[in-house]
Amino acid sequence: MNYIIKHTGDKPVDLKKVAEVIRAHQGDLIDGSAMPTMGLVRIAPEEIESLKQNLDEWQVFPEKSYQVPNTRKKTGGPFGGF
Amino acid sequence: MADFLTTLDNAIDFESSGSSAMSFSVRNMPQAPQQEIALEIIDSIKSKGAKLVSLNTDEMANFRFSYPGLRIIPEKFYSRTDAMQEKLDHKITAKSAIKTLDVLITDQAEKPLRGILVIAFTNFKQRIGSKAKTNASGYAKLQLNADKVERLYIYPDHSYWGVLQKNLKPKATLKVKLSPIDLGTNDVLRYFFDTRSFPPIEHPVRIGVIDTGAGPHGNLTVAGGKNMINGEDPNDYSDKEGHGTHVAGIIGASGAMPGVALGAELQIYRVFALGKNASNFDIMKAIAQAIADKCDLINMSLGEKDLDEGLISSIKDAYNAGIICFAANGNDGRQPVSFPAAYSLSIAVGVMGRKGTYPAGSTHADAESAPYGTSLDNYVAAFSNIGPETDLIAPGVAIISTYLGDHYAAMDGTSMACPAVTGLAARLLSTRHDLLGLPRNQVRSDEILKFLSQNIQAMGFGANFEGKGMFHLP
Repeated sequence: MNYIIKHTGDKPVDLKKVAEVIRAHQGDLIDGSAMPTMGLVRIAPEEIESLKQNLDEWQVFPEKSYQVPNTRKKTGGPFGGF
Repeated sequence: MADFLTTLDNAIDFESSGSSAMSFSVRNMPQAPQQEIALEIIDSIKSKGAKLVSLNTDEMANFRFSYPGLRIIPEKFYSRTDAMQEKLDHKITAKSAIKTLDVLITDQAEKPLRGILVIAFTNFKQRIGSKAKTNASGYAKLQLNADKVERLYIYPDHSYWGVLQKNLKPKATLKVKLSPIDLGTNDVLRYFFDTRSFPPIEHPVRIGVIDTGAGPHGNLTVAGGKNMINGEDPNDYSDKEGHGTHVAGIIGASGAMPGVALGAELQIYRVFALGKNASNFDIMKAIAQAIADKCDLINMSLGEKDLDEGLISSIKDAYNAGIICFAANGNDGRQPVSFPAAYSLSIAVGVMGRKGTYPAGSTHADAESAPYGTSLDNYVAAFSNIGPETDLIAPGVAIISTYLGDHYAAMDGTSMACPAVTGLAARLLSTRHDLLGLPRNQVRSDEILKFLSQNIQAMGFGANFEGKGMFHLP
């Protein structure tokens, strides 16, 4: 599962330390394009609480998906939906 | 009455703690200085901490605009975790097709039109039906399980009006000629706002559009932007689907169907990969980029059911950087307001339509529904989500705007109402250099909201549908 980490502290980010903590929880930084303030991490859900404790100046949020609202009618039932 | 938790981010001293009834004057409302909001404080965490208050839901929008920056959180109740029986939502049926319906779609000169989506419902209530796109000869073949088609929807992507036909018993090929969209049409947006006569806005207002990308389109000028999707070219924020181009055009297009804020600086942030939903991470990155790019307003014509703490933190960051976020209520048909529109620091936008602003028999007529407004031709679109979180309403049925390939399309949705509101906010704000020049912090956001709140007019739908009403221009 993917989680977002977001830096909240005032201190400069030690990226090396952050990478070590993520690795120590068997996680991967899969999108570092917004570092040093935000990153997307793939990590097992059971590791999250421990990760939060070890990244004390970071908030951790689950990744979610959003859709463009559409008003076109959709079919369902035996003739297939879309 | 509804109970709401409020936290005093804005350090407003409510003085009183414990249970008491109070009245709050509506601030900065010169049109109605005598107006007061009655609420009851039920509980309090410290004298300047969060309060549990009881407030009439009709007053919610008024309260939010009068005290911008105040976090207002509906009180929630958690049920016990009792085991429940599974609900039976889907019945298994063994029906099979008994006939094929051929639909031929042409233009008025009987030239076949390719790629037009046709949906036939044999049972609309259960959403049983069939769909197909027309081929190069203009034909769509639909498998039916009944002789009668309850509803037939024809959805061109652009350039033509959609068609809705009901209760058909087609014996042979069904031929339908589509009517072209005339760019001289006064759609509902231009009925209320004559954008063709609007001059470019006086002072640049920078608007971040978080969407599928935007353009290129000959009548849409984009100042800049970024593709936030991992693995795509960060510099390619062009649109592949049309939604973002339509949204951006409502704000700032030039040409025959001008947007409401021609002259606004559009910053486009692409977060939807082709055919996919958007990650909250990409939306959060887009908001961070909009803050870095010094946007004044952000438009988010997107939503989901559930609250999302990640996006909340980003909208809060934007507010604290002097940026107002506008979000679409959602199109689920009178369902609760979607997130992030439902979040108290974003402006939630519902959608209205007006009879006579699209052809009779078009798909857009399907949106007509009570409640009707002060003018009985105005209505809250049937698909609009509603609820006490709604802040504003705007035109969003059969809105004509820019589309891929230098085309124009008529589209429905809170997705269309939202940029109408964002653009109108930009037009209003462009006259206030003093506000735009304020330091980029929470006070700036508060002051912008207070100013905007002076330019809202109730449309007669009731607060649950329209919040405080619709922007009007002086």
